[in-house]
Amino acid sequence: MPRHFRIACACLIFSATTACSLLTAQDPATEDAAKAATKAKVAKSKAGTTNPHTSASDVNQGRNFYNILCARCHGRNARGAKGPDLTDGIFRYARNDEEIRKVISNGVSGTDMTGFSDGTDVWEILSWQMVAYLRAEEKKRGAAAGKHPTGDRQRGLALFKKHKCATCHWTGSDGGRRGSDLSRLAASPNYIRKSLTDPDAQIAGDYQLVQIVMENGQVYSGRRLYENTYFILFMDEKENLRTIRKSRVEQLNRPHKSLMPSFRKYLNSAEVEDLTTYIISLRKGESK
Amino acid sequence: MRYQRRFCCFLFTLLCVSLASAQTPQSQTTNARDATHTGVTYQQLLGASKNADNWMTYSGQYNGQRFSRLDQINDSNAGRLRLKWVRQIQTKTAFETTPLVIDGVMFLTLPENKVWAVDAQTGLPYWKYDHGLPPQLPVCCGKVNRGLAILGDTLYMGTLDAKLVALDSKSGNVRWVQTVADSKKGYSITGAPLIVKDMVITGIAGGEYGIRGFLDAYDAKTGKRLWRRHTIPGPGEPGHDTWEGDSWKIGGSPTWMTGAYDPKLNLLYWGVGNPGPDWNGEVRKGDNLYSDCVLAINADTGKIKWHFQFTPHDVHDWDACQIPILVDREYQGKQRSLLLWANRNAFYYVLDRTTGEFLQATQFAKQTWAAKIDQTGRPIRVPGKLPTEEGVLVYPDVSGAANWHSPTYSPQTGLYYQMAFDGAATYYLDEDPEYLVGKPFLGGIGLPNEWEEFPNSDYISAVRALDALTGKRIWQYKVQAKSMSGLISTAGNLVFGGAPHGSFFALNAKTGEEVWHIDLGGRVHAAPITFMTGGKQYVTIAAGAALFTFGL
Repeated sequence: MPRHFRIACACLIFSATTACSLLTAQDPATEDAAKAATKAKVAKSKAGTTNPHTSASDVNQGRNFYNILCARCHGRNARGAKGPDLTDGIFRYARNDEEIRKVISNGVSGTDMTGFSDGTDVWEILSWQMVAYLRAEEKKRGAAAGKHPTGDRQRGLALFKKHKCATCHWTGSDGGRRGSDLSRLAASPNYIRKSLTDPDAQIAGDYQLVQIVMENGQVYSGRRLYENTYFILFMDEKENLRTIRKSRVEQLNRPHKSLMPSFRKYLNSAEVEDLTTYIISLRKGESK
Repeated sequence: MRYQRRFCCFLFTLLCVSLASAQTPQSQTTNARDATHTGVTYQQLLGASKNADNWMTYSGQYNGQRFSRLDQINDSNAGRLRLKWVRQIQTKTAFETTPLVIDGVMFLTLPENKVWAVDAQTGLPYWKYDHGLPPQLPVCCGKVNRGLAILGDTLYMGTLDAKLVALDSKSGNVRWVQTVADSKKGYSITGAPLIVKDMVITGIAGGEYGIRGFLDAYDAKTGKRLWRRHTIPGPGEPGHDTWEGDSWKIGGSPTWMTGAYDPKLNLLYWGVGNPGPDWNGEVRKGDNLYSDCVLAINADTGKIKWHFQFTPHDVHDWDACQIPILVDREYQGKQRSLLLWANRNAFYYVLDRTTGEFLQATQFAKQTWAAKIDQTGRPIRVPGKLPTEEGVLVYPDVSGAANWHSPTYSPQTGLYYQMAFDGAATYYLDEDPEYLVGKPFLGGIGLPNEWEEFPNSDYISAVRALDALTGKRIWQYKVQAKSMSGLISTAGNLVFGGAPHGSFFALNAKTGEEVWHIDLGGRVHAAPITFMTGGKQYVTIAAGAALFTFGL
């Protein structure tokens, strides 16, 4: 009952302000004031609620829970592992502390990020503490923090075509399948920069290169899709899906080498920035 | 309203009558069993290995061997094992249960402290019990539960909110609930209790929450606490000086798995978990007794007869949470009562369980932290393997070369079987760990150095068969990826176990050759059991969010 009442009130206030602004539209002075108010409102929603739990002790507790819940995917000190780096000041799904807290609580549908909220008051404090910890790590990193890419998207597109990236990578509605789907890439700009110049430094488990020599001498290589005690499933160089029984394999190599070649020799730093800018722009729902 | 109800009653009666008449001939032919169990006496628990039809304790027998004398399913016919039934549950939490089977009735725990009683031949439910939990619980690793204990017609379960619950085994009705500890202070229970005489023995979890661990005994009838043995000695007690300052008050050392019992010596053998905070040892200088120990405890008094510490001053979270295995064999020309233990720290230990004397230790999985184990059983550490802020790579992994998943011992082969793991972790130190009541108290973290689900290297688990007296590896059966499946061995010359991607397998216990395997499509994170009802042997395993039962 009280909850319904609150919603009804909110509706009432909303329609009242709308009606108000329509009625007074002719008066330029009032219009400016209304614009300023809207602007302030937008700014406020962008900033979100201020984190009420930011003491040293909060950061400490946040670190503990980060270590338990997040570190396996987001790495030591939140510097990224299987999941994205959370210390470079760039959050794909959040604009402010409050939204970061919501992501930790509810997860991000369509990604590997699950929500951890149990709906309790304790969780509310705890999630703020984790946000405080992430911000502390970000601050600690300071100058080393990742930058939003500042290159030129059009030049990036030209480079993307020139280097035939779509041979392996999916963008939008088509492309190659041996590389990651760039329209769903969650990686941070720094991760993308590094992948272009030093792809072997960071290989995700589902992009592991496998080289297989069968008992009958047949040789395969490709991208591993699944592996258990008895079978290995992979996509070969021609993008065929294959299942092979390990008992028939003579030799199975998982070299510490990315399927992606290094473009260090072919791209200067400005071009890396252009290409990164373009790749970031491919994300679905990202403003261009 | 009343009329309507009476009409429904009538319909129901009609239905029952018609069902009964339809089913009578069938049940007479197929159901030779008597599914009404009469309860379990302590004498029966003592003779559990002779009564292999039932699985009456967490580890099958007091000696922890998880060996079944059943041999209807054996190395010559296990290749023909077929699925008999599946019972699905609703959970996202790991399903870690070891069911009990008493006279054709199976009792199992689900995550979040639910208990089901099902018909062991069909998997169909007799009753369900749901304990109900507060929203906030101090659990590091999921709202799991691993099993029950039974005495008479009463089942016993420890709960995540640190209570001990006694349930009527025929109805699931509550007999009593006893508070073991305050879950708001970081205490919880995930392991199965153990019945000894007319007592319920339970351990406690919370090694990541700054608890002070203990082992408790309760009167099985009334729930009254009979004794408590703290696993960290208080002021004036021997071993107290192995903790710096007040660190003993919050030094963890839980007892979260189930121990073993020797009725002749009247000694309980119970593993003790990690000291807290886990990864920062600077704030708790000393050996930190009795963390990472096995304790031999007088079952009547709770007094410690002897202790043996596997990893003094642990900073890698290597709990001695394994299941002790008790074996009587000739050791170097002398008949001895032995205690066998493949530890999380990658060494396999043989102790004399009467005296606690260290007999020998052998490495059974990859490790880089100890140069050797000396003549007294104390490890000689390799320098530079303690956690740092930048991280230090050490074998074994943070979850260890062994963990809580049960090993097994077969008196037929004389071999000790362990699901071993060869991975490494990077161990990080967090300075100034802050203790807050009921909050995680870690001082760092250990992170696996590879993506565990699909590792990039030969980052493997293996069932390793060790010569029980020497620890020498006789064979291994490699499993991908990292497995935390428990094992059982049987008189049919079989070892059963599973893997994280859902495979479940039977191996020849002598040779390690694979006899059978099946893909269950969900993580095996529990131990199998075997039992016999209606003249047929079955094997049951939890995988993913379902319980599977196989037979010939």
